[in-house]
Amino acid sequence: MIRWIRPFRKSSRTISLSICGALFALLFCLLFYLVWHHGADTVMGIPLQLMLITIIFPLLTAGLLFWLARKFEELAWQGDDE
Amino acid sequence: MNNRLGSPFKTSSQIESSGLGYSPVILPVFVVGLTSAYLLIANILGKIGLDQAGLFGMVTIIPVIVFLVTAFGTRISGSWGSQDLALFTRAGGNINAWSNALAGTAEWFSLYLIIGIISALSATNHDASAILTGAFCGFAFMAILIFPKLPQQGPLTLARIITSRLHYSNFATHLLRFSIAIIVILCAMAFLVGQIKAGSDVIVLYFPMSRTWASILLLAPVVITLLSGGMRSLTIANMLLVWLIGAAILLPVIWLSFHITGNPVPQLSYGNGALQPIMQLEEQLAQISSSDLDNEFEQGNFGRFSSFSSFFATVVSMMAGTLALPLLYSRISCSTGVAIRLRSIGWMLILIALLVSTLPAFVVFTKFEIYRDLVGLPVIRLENGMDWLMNWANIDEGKLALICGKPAFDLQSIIAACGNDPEYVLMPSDLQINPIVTLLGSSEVTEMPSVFSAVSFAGLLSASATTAGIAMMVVINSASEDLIFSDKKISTAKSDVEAANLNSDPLSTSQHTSPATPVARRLFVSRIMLIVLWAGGVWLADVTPLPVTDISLWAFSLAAGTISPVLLLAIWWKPTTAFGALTGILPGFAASIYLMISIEYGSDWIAYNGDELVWLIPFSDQPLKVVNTAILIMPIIIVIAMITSFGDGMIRKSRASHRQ
Repeated sequence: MIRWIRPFRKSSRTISLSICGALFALLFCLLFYLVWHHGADTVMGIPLQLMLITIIFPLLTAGLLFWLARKFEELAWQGDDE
Repeated sequence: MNNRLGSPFKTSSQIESSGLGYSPVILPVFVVGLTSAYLLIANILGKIGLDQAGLFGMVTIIPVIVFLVTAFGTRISGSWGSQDLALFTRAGGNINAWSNALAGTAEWFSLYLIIGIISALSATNHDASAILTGAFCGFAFMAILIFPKLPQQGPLTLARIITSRLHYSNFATHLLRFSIAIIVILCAMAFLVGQIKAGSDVIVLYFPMSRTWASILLLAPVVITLLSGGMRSLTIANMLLVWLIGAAILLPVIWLSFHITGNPVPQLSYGNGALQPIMQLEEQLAQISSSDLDNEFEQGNFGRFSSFSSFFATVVSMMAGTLALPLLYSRISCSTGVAIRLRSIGWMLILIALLVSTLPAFVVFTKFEIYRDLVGLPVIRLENGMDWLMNWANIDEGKLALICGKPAFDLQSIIAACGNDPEYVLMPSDLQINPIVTLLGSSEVTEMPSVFSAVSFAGLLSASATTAGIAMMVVINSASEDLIFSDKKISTAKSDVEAANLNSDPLSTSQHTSPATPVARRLFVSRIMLIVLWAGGVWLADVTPLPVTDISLWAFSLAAGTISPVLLLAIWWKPTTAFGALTGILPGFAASIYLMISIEYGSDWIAYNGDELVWLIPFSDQPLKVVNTAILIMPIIIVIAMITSFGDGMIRKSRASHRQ
């Protein structure tokens, strides 16, 4: 059973990591686009650039990391030397 | 709350798993409650006549007590002089995500970072934005690209992480480990010296003592804590002091926000409440004045970048610098397993975002108050109610408060500086107020209770001390693991005889089989190194010519231009060899140092005298700065390391086939 499931688990890890990496890259590109083209727009008088960089981007990244941590826990991935 | 997220709200049965032997909720709540009561008493004493120095002294004693109680507390629970190497070097390695994030936030949120961000926000703004974006991306890349490939436990020095993933080669592996350790120590020393300089600069503003004594006293509680329990004591102390650092930023700005706009949430209120009125005032003044407004903030361009290439280069360089920041690896080694480490970084991002998002509000509200008092008024009107300005100008040889380019010692000197015209109308560009005044002078500029400024003072010193503490631990761990004891097996044995008899050792650092080093001897050496670092750090802070805000950027640039590309290759490109990594890291180090010195100081170590190097960011017309030198160096290192690794691999294969 374990021998059968191991390759599947390993590929799931790679998929989770790739999804997370792709989502982060998307987030990063979106941030760059918004900061560059709409950075000076204001929300409640605050430049959008500051809101994106100091609040929205770190919170979304943190959420992504929590999701990845949960996936790794489900897949029982403790580290590369397990 | 879901405990999958490493929630701080644990049940009593989970306290043991916090890894510290204390509840990560009850202890901070107890300390924060006690501190609040103490601050209330200090506030009452301040109102009934306690002078400013007394009030500041009373509040500053809080972090000192936290450090000393932590040192004493860990002694009681067995860490003082104990032979537990894992407790001393990485707090036992089983700290939970929330506690680790609290301590990590205190360490990352250093004093010169706060000063740097505030000064950047006060001036050109996009530098601060690029630096923060790069740092946040660095956190994310480290978590996604590096953490899943790290061993689940054990000491995590960068030299060990990199060399353990490369093909072993006797000479190249040793030289690579040595080179990385030296670079890591240089980076950590830069952080240590920066903290000492920043902390002592703040102390001498309020207490009559030399900078040297201020530096010695700043580090004293940290060194006592580290001597007592090493990383474990530091983790507990930092976990508690992060609340004081948070209070130092949040309390004054919440008060200012409520006072100016009636809304206690500064992150949401400073736009319409203060920033827009400032911009309108500047536009009006620009129409009536022909004077040039010399920065983008004042020109109403808040939120626009002049150059995408410069922004991108700074983001990428800071990202690479954060990716290889030794302080973060030291903190992460206190946790076990990839999931807990990811959560640590997640919580750190949330806590840092809470504090960092407050800094623009801090800058804007203070600027609003200063503008209301000074801008658009004739100089002669400064006669009344401007004592705070003259007081700050009379500290530190007038460097902190300048009007019309000269120190604002008194009304006569201000009038003389502004063309001997008492009716001269002050413009925003005439004011040069140091960020320290923004941070610590709020209670004088506004009607804020003095105790808030005292809390800011104590919090800023805590920010300085916590980062200095982790920088010292990085130097000690790196020197021990990678330089002094790198060729010897380390065991939990208490004598040479026991050590020699031990074969299986989870903390073994190398492939060598020389006799084990007794833990007692290693801890003794670590403690001696702490004392030496204390003295050396104070001396270096005295003699180093670099400004405080530049020092951390040098450390980030050095890490980005040397370790970061090699770390990525070692983890993600299997053919990388120790020799290949070495041929990348050594020229990278030389190029980084050369570029940083030449761009900033030229060839004679004197800034801005005409011989500074001006190179351009690749594919743009923007000049390279210290903060983004890595954008030029990183691709070259990667190419060199890949080519030499490939060649080294081919030679190895051909030798192996010849032997067969």
